[in-house]
Amino acid sequence: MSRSHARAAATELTKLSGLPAVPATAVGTIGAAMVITGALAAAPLGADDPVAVVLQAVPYLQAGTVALGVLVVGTEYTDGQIRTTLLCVPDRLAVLVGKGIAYLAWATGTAVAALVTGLLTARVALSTHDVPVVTDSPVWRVVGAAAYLVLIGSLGLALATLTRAVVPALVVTLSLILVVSPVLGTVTPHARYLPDRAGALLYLPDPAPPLTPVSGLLVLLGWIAVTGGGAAAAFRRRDA
Amino acid sequence: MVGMLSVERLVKRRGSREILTDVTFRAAPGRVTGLLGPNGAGKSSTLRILLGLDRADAGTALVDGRPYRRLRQPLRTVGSMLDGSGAHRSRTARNHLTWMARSNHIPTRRVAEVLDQVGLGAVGGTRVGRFSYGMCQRLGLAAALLGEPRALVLDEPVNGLDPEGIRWIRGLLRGHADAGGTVLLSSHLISEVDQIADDLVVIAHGRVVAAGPTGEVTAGYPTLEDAFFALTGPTAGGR
Repeated sequence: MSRSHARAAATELTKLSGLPAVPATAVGTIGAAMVITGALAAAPLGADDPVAVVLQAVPYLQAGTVALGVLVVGTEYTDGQIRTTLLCVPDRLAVLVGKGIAYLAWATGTAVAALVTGLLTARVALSTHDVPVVTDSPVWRVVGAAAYLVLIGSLGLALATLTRAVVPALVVTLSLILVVSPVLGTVTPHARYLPDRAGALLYLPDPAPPLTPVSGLLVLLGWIAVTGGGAAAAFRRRDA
Repeated sequence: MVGMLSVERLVKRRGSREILTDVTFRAAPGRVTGLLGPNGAGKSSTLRILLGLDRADAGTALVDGRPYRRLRQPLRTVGSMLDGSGAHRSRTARNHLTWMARSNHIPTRRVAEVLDQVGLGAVGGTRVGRFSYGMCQRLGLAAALLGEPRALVLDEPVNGLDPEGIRWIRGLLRGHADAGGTVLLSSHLISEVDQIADDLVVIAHGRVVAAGPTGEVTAGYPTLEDAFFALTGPTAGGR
């Protein structure tokens, strides 16, 4: 990373901390993790393992990191701030690199905090049951869940770069994950190659042959490379 | 020359329509240059290309001989202000200027200085969404002044300002030019440009129809207003 990219990243971090919606999304995601894992753990027929409980909450938590990804770029196009950004940093690629790094920082912090909060909540909630708390699930799945949350949200960043607005990018990304993917999943086995399903192998215990956690990760990275590459090309070519 | 802005044979197309045709002019240090023309004449398009926001289909727009996109810390060379505040409405004015300063390695103390300079010192912690149009203009000016640049490029700077604000900005721009800086401003308000510009570039239908020292451009007409309508009207172009 060059000095200009480091400066662009520091700029973007200052910018994000000045947007109330960004810390609100992070806090909201952590709060949602607490509520959802608490409810799942309290369910009479639910899992009795804190890790398993947290992993069940991941599909809900991804809305938080997707929102962060969308906000990082989408808010530039409210009130014409993108012009100020490009007047300050005319190098389009440096702007995108800075945004990518700032997103990674916020999304990683949010995902890790939400998952840890979820683990603690699940543990406390399960300990109120009469059954003993088990710890069968491997802990690496929680790390996989954090990686998944960060990666899936970067699709929101790419789509916001393409659509140049917050709401359409949120609608497109979330409906792909929450509507299109489940519907296609009931229709065709090829749905396993959708970004959220392939990426879910990073944390879900059930295998989906022929994909493994590693090849699932590669498929998700492929989606990110294609949408991110298209977004970067469009961002460099277009008039501001 | 430091601070020289030069636009050379600029052509810009939107779809099949040519919105700028061979636009050529210079804005020199020590002078206020007014880019004057009716709405839709191509003033903003010209400035956006000069500032590296939009790409030209042909021609060059240079700052000190270099395209804006090649400037390393552009805010220290050219301060600019386009329509509106250019700040997300949920930020405070101070946060907006702080991230701008950080991006160009400008000392943070400049944030408070420019806020005071434009009369927003007391509302630095207020969200931009609560600002009036005139306050947004002042914030835009603060952003332009942040890097203590030699050149100022301002699109319709007096829009939304009250008479006291207009008088203030006139003094500010005059002072900047008298200190050796370059000022390029666009306006569709004839009287504003008449009072402040040393040089005029009159633009209509994407073409420069007259350029030169204000006295020369208006020579032969009773007022700048008469010159403006003669130059930019439907029968214009033969001068």
